[in-house]
Amino acid sequence: MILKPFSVSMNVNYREFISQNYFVVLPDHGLKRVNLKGVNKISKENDPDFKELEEKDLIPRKFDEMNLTSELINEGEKSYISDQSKKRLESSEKDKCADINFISLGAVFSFEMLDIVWLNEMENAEVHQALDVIKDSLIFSGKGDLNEKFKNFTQMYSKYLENPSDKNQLSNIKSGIEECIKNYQENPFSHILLGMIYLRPTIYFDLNKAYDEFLSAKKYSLEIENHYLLGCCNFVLAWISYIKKDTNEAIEFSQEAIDNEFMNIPEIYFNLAKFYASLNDHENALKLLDEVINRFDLLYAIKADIDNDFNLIKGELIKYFIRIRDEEKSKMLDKLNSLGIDFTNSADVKETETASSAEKT
Amino acid sequence: MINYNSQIYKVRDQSFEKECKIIIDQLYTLYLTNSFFSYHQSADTINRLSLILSKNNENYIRFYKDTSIRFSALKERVSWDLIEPLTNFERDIKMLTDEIQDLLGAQDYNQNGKAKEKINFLDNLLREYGKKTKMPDYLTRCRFFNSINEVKKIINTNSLISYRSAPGKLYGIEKIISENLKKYVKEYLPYTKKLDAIKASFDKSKTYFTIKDAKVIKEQIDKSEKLIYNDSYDDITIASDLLTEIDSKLFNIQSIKKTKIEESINSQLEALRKFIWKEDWEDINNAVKVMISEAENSGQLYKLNLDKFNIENKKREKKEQIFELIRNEESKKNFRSAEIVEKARNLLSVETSRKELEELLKATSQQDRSKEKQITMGKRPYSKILKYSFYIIFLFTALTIFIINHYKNNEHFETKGNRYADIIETIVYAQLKSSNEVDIESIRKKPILQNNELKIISIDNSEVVIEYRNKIYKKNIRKK
Repeated sequence: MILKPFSVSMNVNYREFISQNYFVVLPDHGLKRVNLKGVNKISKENDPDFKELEEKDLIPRKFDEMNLTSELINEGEKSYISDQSKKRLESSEKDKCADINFISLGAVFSFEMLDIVWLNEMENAEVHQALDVIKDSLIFSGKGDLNEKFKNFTQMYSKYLENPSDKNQLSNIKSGIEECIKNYQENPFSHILLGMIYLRPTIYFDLNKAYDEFLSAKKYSLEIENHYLLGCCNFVLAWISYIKKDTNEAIEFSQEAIDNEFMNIPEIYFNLAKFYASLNDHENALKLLDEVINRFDLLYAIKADIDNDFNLIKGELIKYFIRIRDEEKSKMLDKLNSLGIDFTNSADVKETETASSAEKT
Repeated sequence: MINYNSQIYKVRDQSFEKECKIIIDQLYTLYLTNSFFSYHQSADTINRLSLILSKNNENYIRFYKDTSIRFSALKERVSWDLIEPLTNFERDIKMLTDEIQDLLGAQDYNQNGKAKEKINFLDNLLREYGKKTKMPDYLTRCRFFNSINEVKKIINTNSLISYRSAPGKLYGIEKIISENLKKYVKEYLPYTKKLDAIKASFDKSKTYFTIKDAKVIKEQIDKSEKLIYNDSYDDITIASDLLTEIDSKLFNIQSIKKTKIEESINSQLEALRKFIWKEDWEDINNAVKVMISEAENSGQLYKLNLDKFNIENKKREKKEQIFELIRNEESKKNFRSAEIVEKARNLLSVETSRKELEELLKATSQQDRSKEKQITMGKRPYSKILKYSFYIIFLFTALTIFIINHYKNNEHFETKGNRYADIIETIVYAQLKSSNEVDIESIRKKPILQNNELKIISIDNSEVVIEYRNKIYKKNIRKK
C-alpha cells in the first residue's frame, strides 16, 4: 500500500501522526500494518497518557481512499496498484522470504518502517563491511565483548519489532545500547539504533536526541568511510530537519545523501522533491520526482499526488503528469503502428484528449 | 377468434401479415354467420389463406431464416467487442453489421433479402483481411482483436498508470502476431501451394482419368479449397488430409498412365528405328529418357510425347537422301551402279547411320573417278594399237576357250548319253527280270528321262538304242 507521507503543512503533531501507524515484523520478515485495535493497544502500552483512537480520528493515508488526478490514475486501476504495492510487503511464494529494503519497497516505503527496513538493510554487503570494520576495531581495542552485546541488542530490537507493545524490552534495549555507546562511541550502528528508538512513538520519542544520534552516526560513518551508512544518516537527518521545519537543512542533508548514495535509497530523491515542493520550487521538485519515477518506481507519482507538499504545486504537477502520460501514449501508439494497428481516429483522439486535459488543468 | 399456428407459420412480413389478417377476419365472419353456405364458402377462403401462408413460409426461409443463420455464423467470426477507437477493419465490420442488422430487423422479406449481398461483402471483407494480414484464421483474429481491446481500454482510461501497463499488453499482441506468422508459414502457405499444384496437375492431366474419377477428384479438390480458404486453421488440418488423399490418387492414376505412355512412346520409338537415321534416333531416344525422368519429377504427363521431334521431317530426310543417291546412280548406267542402287535400297528398310550412306557415296565417287580415268586414257595416241592388240588377244583367247569348251562339251554330252543308255538298260533289265515284258511308255514317262534332246529309238530284249544331242548310243541288255 502507498501511504500519504507526513507533511509539515498538515499541521499535525508528528508524534501523533506516527502513533496512528505501526508496522510489525512478521516471522517471514515481511511487514504488516497494524489495525486500529492494534494501534490503540501498542500506543497505550507505550504512552500512559494516550487516548484511545476511533476510526474518525485517523488521518486518512491510504492512496486508494483518496481522490487522485485522473491523468495519473483511474479509479478502476486503484485496486491493481493496491495489489502491486501490497505484494512488496509480503514474502514471495517462491522464496518464502520477504525482500524488505529501500529499493524493493520503493514508493511503498513509509518512515514508520525505518527501523524494520534498516535491520534488513544490515544484511547487505556494504553494511556488513562496516560491521566488520567496527568488530575488528573493538577486538583490536580489547572490547570484543561489546560487539557481542551490540549484536544481542540488535537481535532483541528485531524481536521487539515483532511486538512493539513490549515497552520493558525497549527500555532494556535502550539502556543496553546506551551502555555500548558509553564504552565505545565510535560505533555508528549503536548511534543509529538509539536514534531510531528516539524516533519511535514511545515515551522515549525525542526528535532532538534522534537528530544528535544520527549526527554522531554520520560522524563515525565518515571515519570508517562507509558511504552507504553516510547516505542513510543524511537521509534520516534530512527527514528530522524537515519535521523540525528546517527545510533548507533538510535539502542540504538530502543533497549530501544523494552524493553519498545514489543507488539504493530512492526515498532520498522523493523526499528531496517533496522538500522543494514544500518551498514551492516546482522546477526542482518535478525534476527530482521525474528522476525517482524514471529511475526507480512509477508509484512515486501516486505518492506525490497524495502528498500535501506536492499539493502546493498541484497545477505544475498535473501538467507534468499529462506530459509523461502523453509520452507514454505516444510510445504505445507508435508501437501499435509498427505492428500494423492503426485506429481510424487515433490522431483526433490523441489531440482531443490532450486539449481537454490541458483545459482541465 | 381464429388464428394460424405461429409455430408453423412464421409471418414476419407486414404485407403478408396484413393479407392473412384480412382473410382470417373473413373466415371469422363466415364462422359467425354459421350457415351451410358460409361454411361452404369458407373452404375457398381457407385455401387462399393456406396458399398465402405457404408462400410466406417459402419467403421466410429464403429471405429471412437462411440469411439470419448465415449472418449468425459470420458474427461468430467477429466475436470480439467492437469498442472505440476502431481500426479501419473494425469500422468496416461495424458499418456492414449495422446495415445487415437493420435489413434483417425489417418486417419485410425484400429488405431481409437485401441483407444477403451485405453478408457477402462482410464475408469477403473478413477473408480479404485474413489474406492481407496473413491471419487467415478467425480464432486467431478474435484473440488478436481481444488483445487490441485491452490496449483500447488503456487508451480510454487515458492515465499515466494505464499507459505504463501497455508494454505487457503490446507484448501479448506481438506474441499473437509472431505465433500466427509461424502457423501461417508452416500450416497455411504450404497447403495453398499444394492445392495450386494439385489443381494445375489435375487440369493438365484431366484426360487421363475416367469421367467418374475426374468428377470425384474435382469434388475433393473443391472441398479442400473451400476448407483451406474457410478462415480457420482447424479446417486446414482437415484439408491437409484430403489433399494428401487427392495427391496419392493423382499419383497412382498418373503413374499407371505414365507407364502406358512410356510403353507407347518406347514402341513408337522402336518402330522409328529403320525410318530415320540412326544418329537422329539415338538423339530422340536420349531426349525421351530425359522427358520421362522430368515427368517423373513433375508428374506432368502431358509433355510425354514425340511431337516436338519433327519425326516426319526426319523420315523424309532419310528417304530423300537415299533416293537422291539412287537417282544419281541410275543416271550413270554403269555396271557398278546396280549394285550401289541395290545397297542404297536396302538402307531404306534397315536401321542405318548417315555414315553408311556416306560410304556408299564415297564408293560411287571412286567408281566415277576410275571411269573418268579410263576415258582419259582412251584419248592417248597409242590407244588404237593397244585396242587392236587387246581385240586380237581377246579373239584368240575366245577361240581357244571355244575349242576347249567344244571338246569338253562333246566329252560331257557323250558321257551323259552313255549315262542315259545305262539308266534305260537298267530299267529294261529290271522290267524283264520282274515280268519278262518291256513297257516302253512307262520308261518314256520316267522323270529322270524327261529331256527334249533325248529320244528312245528302240528297245528290245537284247539292246537299247537312244539318240541324245543328234548322236546314237547303244547298250546291250544284261542276261537274266
